Amino acid sequence: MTTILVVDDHPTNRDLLVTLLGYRNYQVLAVSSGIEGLALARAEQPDLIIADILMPTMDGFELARQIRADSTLAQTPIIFYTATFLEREARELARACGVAYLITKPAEPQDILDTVEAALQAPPPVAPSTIPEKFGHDHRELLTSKLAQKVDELEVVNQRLTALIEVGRQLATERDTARLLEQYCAAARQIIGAKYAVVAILDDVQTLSQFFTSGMDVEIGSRLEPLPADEGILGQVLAQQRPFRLHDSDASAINLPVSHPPVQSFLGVPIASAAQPYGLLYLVDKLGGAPFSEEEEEVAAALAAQMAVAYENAQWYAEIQAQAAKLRLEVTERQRAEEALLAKNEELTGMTQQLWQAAKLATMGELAASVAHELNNPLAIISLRIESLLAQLAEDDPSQSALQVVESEVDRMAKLVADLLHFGRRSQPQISTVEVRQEVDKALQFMHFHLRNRRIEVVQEFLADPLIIQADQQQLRQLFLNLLTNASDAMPEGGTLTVRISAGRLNDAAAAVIEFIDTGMGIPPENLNRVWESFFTTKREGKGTGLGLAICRRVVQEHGGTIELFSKPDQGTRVQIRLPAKSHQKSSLMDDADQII
Amino acid sequence: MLTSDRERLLIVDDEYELMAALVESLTALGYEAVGLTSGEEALKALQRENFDLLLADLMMPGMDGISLLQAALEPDPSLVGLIMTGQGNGQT
Repeated sequence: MTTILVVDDHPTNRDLLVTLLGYRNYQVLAVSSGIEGLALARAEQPDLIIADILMPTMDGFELARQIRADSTLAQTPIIFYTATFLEREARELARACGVAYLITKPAEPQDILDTVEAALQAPPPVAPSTIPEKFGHDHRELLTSKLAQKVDELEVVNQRLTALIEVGRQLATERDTARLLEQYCAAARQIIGAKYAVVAILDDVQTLSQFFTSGMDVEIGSRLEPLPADEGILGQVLAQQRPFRLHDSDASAINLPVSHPPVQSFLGVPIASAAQPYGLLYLVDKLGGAPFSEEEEEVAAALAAQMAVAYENAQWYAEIQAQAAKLRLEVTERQRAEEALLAKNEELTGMTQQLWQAAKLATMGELAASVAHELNNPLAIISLRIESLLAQLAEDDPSQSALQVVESEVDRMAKLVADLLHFGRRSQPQISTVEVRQEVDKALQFMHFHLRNRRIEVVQEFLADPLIIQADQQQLRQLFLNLLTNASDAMPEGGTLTVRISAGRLNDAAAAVIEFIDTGMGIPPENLNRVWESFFTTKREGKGTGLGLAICRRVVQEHGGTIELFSKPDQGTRVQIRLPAKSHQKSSLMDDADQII
Repeated sequence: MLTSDRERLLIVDDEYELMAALVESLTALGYEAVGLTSGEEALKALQRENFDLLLADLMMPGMDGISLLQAALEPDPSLVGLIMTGQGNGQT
């Protein structure tokens, strides 16, 4: 049986030869290095040796040289099995070391078998008596040039990979789909080195309707007509979702837009994500005129894959942005609606409270008026009777003081009745021009003895100029007296009452500001809002009607003013009233006519 | 108006106690005060006797103060009329 020794460091090459030759009933020995090959050849004395040229440690030439130098093996035929590049130089070297046969990878199985047959049947090779000097030199030169070429190739691949990564990195964050495709198109043209690059995008009706070009005249690029997506080579790239490379004669079948520049070589790759096809990228005319290589096809495919992902992301991003904007809008609208609802609700609550309060006041007002009326007559009778009794009694009569107490208590009741009547009454106010300082001063004079008895010091901080307002004098007096009484009641142990009159603003118009500031017990925070309610009082039973501040507020409101209350427990209370002031330049008649209360 | 002694006053109030108290007080002040409790009675008295002043409650059952005063002023325009009211305001 014929024994063949295969020496190749590539397992796939070895396996191919072992299988192929074994099938032809050769006994095949296979090793992966020159050194092993030489040892096995010495041990087994094969009929034929097939050796790879480029192997680490001991290459094919060295192996052949050693075999030719070994007297027991020198006659063994050798076939070199090697890559196609530099075939001519390799063949010369092979001949120089006594190897007559060369198979280039990749080779058809039949070629391999034919070469094996030929080598086995040929007369034993004549071993060159001496390996020429030149062999070593040529051998090294071949290896060097091969390495240099590989380095160049690797350099190109490396540059392309770097460019690919850079493009991916730069465009990963591009959100604008048109700009993204445009930039990818330009990058593809640059990386691969083509005259033109075109990205054609499919629309909803399977037409390539959107083109992005690089290297092409802008005007021509912008005039490319839409194309049906199922025709020509472009159609096949899309339909089969695989790359196509064409050169020279095939170019007419590509199905490019009518206005497209002529094409010599073509490389087209589909742009598609896992979910759907988006279109294709094609390159036209490699710089230098060569056909596009397989490696360039791979680079183009890698670019197209990146592009598909980036394009899809950009589309999703745009969609998400739109959705987010819509959501934000909805949220804003909902918030606005909620706020409006809340405001309406509060308004409603406020109105309900006001209505309730108004209803309560109306009822109480009527009740108060009728009760007051009923009480007025008995009070008048008692008052008259006491008066005449007091007139009849001697001044030193012991009953005098008791009757006086009764008289003052009756007066107090009369005052309460008057308060109630005033509150229940809705009479037409008597508006006249009033000087605020004078009115406050009158009220203070009226209270003078009362305040002095309570050891309350009054401090007057009055504006130097007259302050004129339109008011019902009677109601105004009631307002001031009520507030002075409150202040006095707040300071049972005495204190300071500051009455301040100043000019201020109310609703952007001039206003009189009247403040009553006491150093009394103050109002607890929980009562601050309730003090305005009718019949709310904290005074001892019989000391207050709970109407004082309610009357004050009504009076102020009827005068178009505001009344505010600031208080801190144990520090005192400040009541601030603002009433619309009358400009003294104006005619009082005019103002009288304008006044609406 | 009430400047001279013993001027005749007619007090009309449906509430007897008030009327009586007024009569007493005014008498103490030196007037000759006559008290009645209805407008109708008062009108009769005015037709029968001479009074310098009529003091009448506004709100009375039957003839009220205003009607009484109007009826009384017809025969005697010189009569001085005063209307009392417990409402505490001048509106009525």
